[in-house]
Amino acid sequence: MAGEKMMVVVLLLLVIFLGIAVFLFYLERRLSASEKKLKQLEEKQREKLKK
Amino acid sequence: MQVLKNNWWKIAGILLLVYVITGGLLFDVPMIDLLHETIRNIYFHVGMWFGMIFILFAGLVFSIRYLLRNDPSDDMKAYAAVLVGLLFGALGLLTGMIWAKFTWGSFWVNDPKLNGAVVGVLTYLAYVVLRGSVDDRDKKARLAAVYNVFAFVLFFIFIMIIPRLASASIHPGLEGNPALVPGDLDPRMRKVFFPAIAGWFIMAWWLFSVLYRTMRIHQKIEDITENS
Repeated sequence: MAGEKMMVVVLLLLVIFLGIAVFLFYLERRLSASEKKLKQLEEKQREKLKK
Repeated sequence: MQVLKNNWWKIAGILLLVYVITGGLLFDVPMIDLLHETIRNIYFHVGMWFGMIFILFAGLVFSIRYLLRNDPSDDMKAYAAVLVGLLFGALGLLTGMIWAKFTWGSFWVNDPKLNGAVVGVLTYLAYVVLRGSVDDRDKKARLAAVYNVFAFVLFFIFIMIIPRLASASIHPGLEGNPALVPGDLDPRMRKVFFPAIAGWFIMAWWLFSVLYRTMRIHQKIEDITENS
């Protein structure tokens, strides 16, 4: 009985931890997209300043 | 394939911590008087504390690099490292307090090691306050970098030297480095403890990189809006 309860605790902790990890990957993807957009914006601004 | 190539260390970190959570709670541990099952906390409390020291050391390196090269990105990296270090420090204190409640009967006791730890963390909180109190970007970066060098030295004194001078601490690991000295830790625990340290190091570095990239984007947006 105590072993089963422990398994529930372990599984719950794993779900929480893996949830955080998945969220971090998602956040990194969003960051990469933002960095790409920002780079384009910076290039546009540089061209504008040249003109 | 490219995704795997870029993220292999993050996946390794996740796998290590999945192993630590599973093995840390389910594998056999030595039954020591007073500690009993609470000894498992070492994988989390000490692991996070080591992760904090690692990332704060990285912050120190970035601050020194800023003072040498005057590159604002080094200052931003140092700031991100300190923030992640504070998060790990808070988690380390919290896991320690929960452990203390079940082992010593109180969340906090007047102990040189515990007091040193909290004063050390407060030293780094002062770094964040210092940054917030200066408006000029260059001045802020220079002041913060110099303070960060002192903060790391002070932190080291508070958590490593002062508690060892005071011989009355009840916190485990007063002699030498806790859990790292041969014979100090049961071999059954070593197979989880060392992966735990590696896992928390990777987690700290991952959080640091996400935070730094976020800060850099924020800074760039500010620069673009200022110039347009």
